[in-house]
Amino acid sequence: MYKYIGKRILQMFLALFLISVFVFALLQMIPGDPVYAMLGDEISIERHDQVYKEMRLDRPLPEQYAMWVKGFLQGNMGYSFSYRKPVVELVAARLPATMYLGVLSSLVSVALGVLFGAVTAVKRGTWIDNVVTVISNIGLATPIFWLGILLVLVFSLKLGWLPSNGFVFPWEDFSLSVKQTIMPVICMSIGGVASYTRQTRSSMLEVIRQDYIRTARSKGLPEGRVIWKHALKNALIPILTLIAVTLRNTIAGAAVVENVFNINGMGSLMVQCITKRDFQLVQACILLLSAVTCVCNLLVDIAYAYVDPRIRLK
Amino acid sequence: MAEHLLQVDHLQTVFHTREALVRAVDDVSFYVDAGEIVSIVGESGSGKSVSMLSVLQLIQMPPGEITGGKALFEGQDLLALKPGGEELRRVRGGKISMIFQEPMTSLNPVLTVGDQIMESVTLHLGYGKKEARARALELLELVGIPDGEERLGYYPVQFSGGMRQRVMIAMAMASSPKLLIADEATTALDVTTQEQILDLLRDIVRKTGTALIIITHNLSVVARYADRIYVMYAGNVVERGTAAEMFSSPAHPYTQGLLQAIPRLDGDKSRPLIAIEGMPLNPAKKDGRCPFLPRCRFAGEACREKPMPPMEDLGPSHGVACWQGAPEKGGEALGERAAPARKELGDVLLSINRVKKFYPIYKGVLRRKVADVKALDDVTFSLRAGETVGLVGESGCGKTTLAKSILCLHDITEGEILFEGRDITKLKKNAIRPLRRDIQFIFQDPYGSLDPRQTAGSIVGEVLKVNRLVSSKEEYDRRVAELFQAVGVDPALRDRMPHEFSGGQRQRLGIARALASNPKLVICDEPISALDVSIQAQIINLLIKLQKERGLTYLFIAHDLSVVRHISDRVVVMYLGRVVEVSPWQELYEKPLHPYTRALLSAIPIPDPEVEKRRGRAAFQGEVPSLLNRPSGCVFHNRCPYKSERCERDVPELTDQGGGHLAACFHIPGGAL
Repeated sequence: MYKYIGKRILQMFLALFLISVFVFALLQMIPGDPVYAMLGDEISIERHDQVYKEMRLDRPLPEQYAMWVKGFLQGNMGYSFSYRKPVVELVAARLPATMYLGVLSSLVSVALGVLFGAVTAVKRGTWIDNVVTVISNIGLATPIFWLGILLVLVFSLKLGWLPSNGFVFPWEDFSLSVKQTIMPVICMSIGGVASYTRQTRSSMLEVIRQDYIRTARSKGLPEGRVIWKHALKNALIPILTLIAVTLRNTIAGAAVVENVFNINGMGSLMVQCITKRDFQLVQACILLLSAVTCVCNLLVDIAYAYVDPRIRLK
Repeated sequence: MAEHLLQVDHLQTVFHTREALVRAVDDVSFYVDAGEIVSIVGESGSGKSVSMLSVLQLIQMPPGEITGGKALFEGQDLLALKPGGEELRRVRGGKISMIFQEPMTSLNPVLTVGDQIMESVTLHLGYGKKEARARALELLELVGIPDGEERLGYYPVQFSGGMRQRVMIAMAMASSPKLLIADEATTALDVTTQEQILDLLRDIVRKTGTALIIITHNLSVVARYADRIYVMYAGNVVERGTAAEMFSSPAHPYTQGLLQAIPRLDGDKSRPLIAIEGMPLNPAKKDGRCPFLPRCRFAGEACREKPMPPMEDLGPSHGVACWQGAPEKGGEALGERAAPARKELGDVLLSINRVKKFYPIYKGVLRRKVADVKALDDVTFSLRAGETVGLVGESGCGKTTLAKSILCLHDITEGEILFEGRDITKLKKNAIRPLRRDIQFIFQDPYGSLDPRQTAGSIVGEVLKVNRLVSSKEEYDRRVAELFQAVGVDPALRDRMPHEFSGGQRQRLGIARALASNPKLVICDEPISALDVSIQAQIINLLIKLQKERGLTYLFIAHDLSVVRHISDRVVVMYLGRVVEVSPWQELYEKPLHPYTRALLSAIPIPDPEVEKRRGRAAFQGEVPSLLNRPSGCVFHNRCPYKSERCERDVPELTDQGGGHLAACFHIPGGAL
């Protein structure tokens, strides 16, 4: 078990190293001079040289990389030219909101998806199954930005029930926070709910046919116990795989959702800094989000070992 | 009439399928008394499992439906209880417990065995956590699992097949049920493990007074253990009686047929197996008449005109459902006792010399080799042209690895395999292909081994085309038709797809495919173990006939010693990758030398309760260890009753004990054994 986790952590660091090399190379890949690319053509030669030195672009590449990583680990993630602030301040202000929405919508999608999936599998072939299956297909096909705009149109502009934009944490203003997060979370979790439902349904149907479910029934267990205790834990194994994939999509979805609902999070920050060619900020954003994804994947892997003893005992 | 523990009357279960109404259980009655071992015997599709599952309402409903009958258990009709209701659930697992066929899949893989056993205890006995744990420990001891305290925290993957079946039994016994149902509980296990599990079940019955129903297709198993037997065919009970009656004077033509169709360990080898011709009846095609009619040798006017015969009593316990009463036993008359033709054997065709096949195990980040799994360790024997050599052993003994090595499907680690004097292990890829014509293979699973998208004709004929063995379309068609006839399949069916054939017919096609290139050597890897008993004899007879006609050499791989004995001239016994004994067939059975062979022979039940009572049994313990934990010295020493210190240290060589009888054991000479 510990060996397994140790191995996964090792793999995670390897992945992070490769990502950091790639992100670092990003700056080198910009066509033309990086300083002009960032600051525009109108700056003076002196200014250019000064910045060129400040960014240590005159040093050999491996040294630049080492300095960059070192700075990053010490909390010095560079300087944002467009915001005229250290990157670390910007990130510290915006990462929590994205994390909060991401975690919340992931939880919502897993909980609802697994529930819907289990119910449709147990009630296979009934009207409940048909209705949920159709809805989940629609959910999979719905573009997030379109749904966001539609929700704003209906619930904010027509009905006036929910605020159309902004974000506060629940510990700052609970009722406002709940109102503000409902629509973003729906947008961010709809795809997840749909894919979890489908995956849970098919994996439950597979599990229900297994011999050990017959064993459980022949023991005289009530049907509920058979489903929730014996079937679901087995059915969850393929769903964990899906969680790892869906997490990435949720984080990518944040970029769209935060823009639609005007939320100051990492997603909107990233979109803005890309359009403003603020490369140090882009680097920091990508690296941080990758790190978050890697850590989530690690957690999923550990959960795997928890759910499936066959992995733990290997 | 005294009340029985479980009395099933006129049970009827049907399955609604898209095409038809399948009468899976058609008017079945039987009973069990406390402390009794009753067996229900039948082939696949005979309705034996469905009857028992119906009693507990465990069949899938829909498409299943119980349409009639009663199942009185302690006076209460179980079929009248609400499906899934409280009362029924108290009986399930509480008073009536089941053990299923596949120990590998019948336990929940993600819960510890302790959880699974204690779940039954708390559910039915209402124990608290601590008491339940104590009870679970008691149960593990009852089923012979040592170190219970630790094993309770184990997951099913950490147990071997036999151990899992013990866990299943512990679970089933959790609430001290009145009735235990073992549904093919030992079919998936190795021969020696099967014996241990059945002995365990019998001991439990004796100790606790629980009644036991053994559902099986294996008549021999039943002879050793059952008090009374019901024989089922296509959803009907066709005969009932005590074990003695059933084996000494079988009344129904089907029972008689079954007994004549299985080779016996103690039987006369010159007796040809009398196969029951035709296929088992598909229950969807029942027409209200006797279901055995199309295959029956004794069928008369009455059988064709009258409906299904009722069960008639022949004695207090014996009854048969047949319009012919109890027809004369036709077995002796029919089986012309041809003297075993002395086979003319040719030169050595295949010789296997000190063959080793190791699979390396890698560990760590650097994938360093840490050990070898020795699948084949120093295997030596040879086959002469025209000979049949039986290769026996339990799972993991290397039978299939050896077959693959002979077919050059993988490289061996050491040694040589000479085919017609030429070492075939070092051949280049393009030199192997012509060799495949001469060495052919018959697979175990007739379902998985035929391409589902190819017609029967092209499966059989492909070999002819690939090897350019025919020069024209006409010749191709003629050869394919000839091959179909040789294996007894109507050539008109050549355009059908594999799924349109039954298991036995598919195996025939597999044999035809193997014969297409006129091979010299045919390797048969468990060719009959996936087939129904009544079909097995047909295939064995076919193989024997084809050998005579075509002078084939067979390497016959099987785990069933009675079948191997019937077909083989010589037998090679393997254990954990090593050959432990090589012997002419007769000597092996009369005078087995290696302790493993003895144990294996004694584990095989003989379909005759009288013989079973007189037979001595070899002491035998444990299960086949994993190849990863192969014992040092003699691989068998940890299970052997005769082991000495030397056995733990040195590896015994295969030595000739006279007359071509070889054995690898330190303790043979001197009669100490």
